[in-house]
Amino acid sequence: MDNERSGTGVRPPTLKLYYIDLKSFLSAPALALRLRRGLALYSANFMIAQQLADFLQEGLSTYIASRNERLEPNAARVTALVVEPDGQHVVAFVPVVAGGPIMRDLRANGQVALVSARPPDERGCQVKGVFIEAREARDDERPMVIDQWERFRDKLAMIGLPRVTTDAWVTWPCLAIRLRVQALFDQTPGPGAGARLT
Amino acid sequence: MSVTLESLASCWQGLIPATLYTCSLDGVPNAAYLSHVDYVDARHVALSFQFFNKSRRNVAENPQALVRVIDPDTSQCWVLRLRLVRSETSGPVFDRMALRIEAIASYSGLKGIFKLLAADVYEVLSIEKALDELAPEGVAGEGREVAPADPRFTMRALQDLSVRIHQATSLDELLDSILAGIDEAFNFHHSMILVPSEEPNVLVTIASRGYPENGVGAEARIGEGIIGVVAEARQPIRIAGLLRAMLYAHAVAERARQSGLCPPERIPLPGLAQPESQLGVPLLVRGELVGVLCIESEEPYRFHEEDKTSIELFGSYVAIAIQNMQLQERAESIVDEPAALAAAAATATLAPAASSAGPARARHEVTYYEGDEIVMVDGDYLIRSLPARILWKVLTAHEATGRTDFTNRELRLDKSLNLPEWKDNLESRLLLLRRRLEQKCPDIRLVSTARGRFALDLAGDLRLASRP
Repeated sequence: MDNERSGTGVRPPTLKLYYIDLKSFLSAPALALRLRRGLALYSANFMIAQQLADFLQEGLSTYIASRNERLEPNAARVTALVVEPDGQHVVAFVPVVAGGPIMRDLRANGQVALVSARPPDERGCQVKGVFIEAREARDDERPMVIDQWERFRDKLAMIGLPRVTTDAWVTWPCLAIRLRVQALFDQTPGPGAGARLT
Repeated sequence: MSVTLESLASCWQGLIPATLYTCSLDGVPNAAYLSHVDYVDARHVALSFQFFNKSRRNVAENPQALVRVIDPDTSQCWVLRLRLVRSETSGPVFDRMALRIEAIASYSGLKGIFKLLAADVYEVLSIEKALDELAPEGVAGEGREVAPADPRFTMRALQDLSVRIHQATSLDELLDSILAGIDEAFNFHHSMILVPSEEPNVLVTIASRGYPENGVGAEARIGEGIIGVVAEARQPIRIAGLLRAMLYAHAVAERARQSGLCPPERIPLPGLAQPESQLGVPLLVRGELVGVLCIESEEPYRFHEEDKTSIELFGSYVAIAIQNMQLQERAESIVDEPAALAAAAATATLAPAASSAGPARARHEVTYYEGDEIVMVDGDYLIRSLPARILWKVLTAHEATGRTDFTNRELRLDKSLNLPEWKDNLESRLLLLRRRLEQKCPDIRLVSTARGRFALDLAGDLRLASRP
């Protein structure tokens, strides 16, 4: 811990005082660029703009939520997300092992929510929509799903959670749950969190 | 329920984000990440309410909720079905959660922005093991029974520490023995003690252990960082997973800036470059803040609730010991007045210290900035405020008369030093000065010669200069 001087006098000892330099931590050019573009890129009519689609598909921490007839919520981890080219539909790849309650709810009432967050900077958003259909994920989709999952694990490592932490988490086989987007919400913590995005 | 909330103790540290799921009365589910889930008792948890307005509106009309928490020790996810019971804006649960958030917020300049609005207390209806986020094979994912108290944290360890404290004969020795005892008895290697500065709302580091530099003289402002918040609230704070918490706070800060709130630059963390766990305990005697004890670790989940309890208990004892030692040293220096004054008079005409003779002595420029009350040595900051005034008085007296011996009593009587009449903490300031010299300019030493007396010992030649 050391002292600093400034100008003619001496700045009293606020002194050394190490800190986590989050600015440099987050300043990888590509990451910073995406952050600046941020989440204000939603289009009207519940379409997901390309840059937000890129964000959602870059490998985030994502969960799917549903509810039963007693209005009790259910949730499961999502291995990967795909935004369809029309920007109005999203496919969530949910491990089969955890998909049972979700599918029962979706078939009964169709109400669904997805919440995604990027671990290093907590940026996130929520997609609300209605269930369209579900199927077993195809083998040819597996590389894409696992690639997205691995990119998520890379981000976890950035915040000190080693890959071994998630080694045993079930990622495949998956259900491909397709939904139509009805609303988007900013989920980044802070003033304005939860605001509807149009 | 077969798995208990107690057995999931690691889940309440906030190391891995939890998620909260609710549903509106019209049947629309909502999902949100949570800043913190806290253990309340065997049947209840508390969720931090900061920003999740939709979640809050949902539980107000439909109290059913679901939380997924991940045990950082096993990676097993647990699904808790909850029912909202009440929302607290005061009380021990709220205070505990709010202080933790406030300490983190202060590091990011977010006090007042990143804050706890309420602690929502939920009854836990069931605990289920998630089927997707599993513990690795061979790792018990069934939750753990509360670990039996580690012998290091038992009363015996505290007893050992109290013996060390009793054996200390000076404030210097006392502070070192406290931190050494914490290191050896509790295995907490990085710690520091700060005491109130004569400057309002500032704490100054008077002792530290386990850091590359001793850090004496480093300051913390009341209300800033874990140390400042502990001092302000006079409550202990334990933070685990500080990196993630800081990232969360950083996200809030960015959003606040975008909203035009413009929080100031973050306050740097003291001590370790990247602390993951911090434990701060106020040192109080009858409500008076004697200091703050801060312990750090680079491990994300180093300090457990029992540690906080043990250190808090120990802290109350430490506070009394420090205050008693300060009072004792002060009293002894006053009682010793005639002898001290005689000694001072006897040495007033002595030649410069014997150690001043000899070849190849270093030369140092010592400059006192009167306006700022700061002493610089060879262009580097040494110390400020009262310790600076004391050093300047001693050095100028030595230059003028050759005196080397001084007494605390004469310092107290010297109006030019402007000591407070009540609780001047002179001994603490002298200790701070002595340790800063050891760190920054070992050629100037203030050697304790007896209770209330010290000698100036110079191993180099000084050139004194005073600036406005």
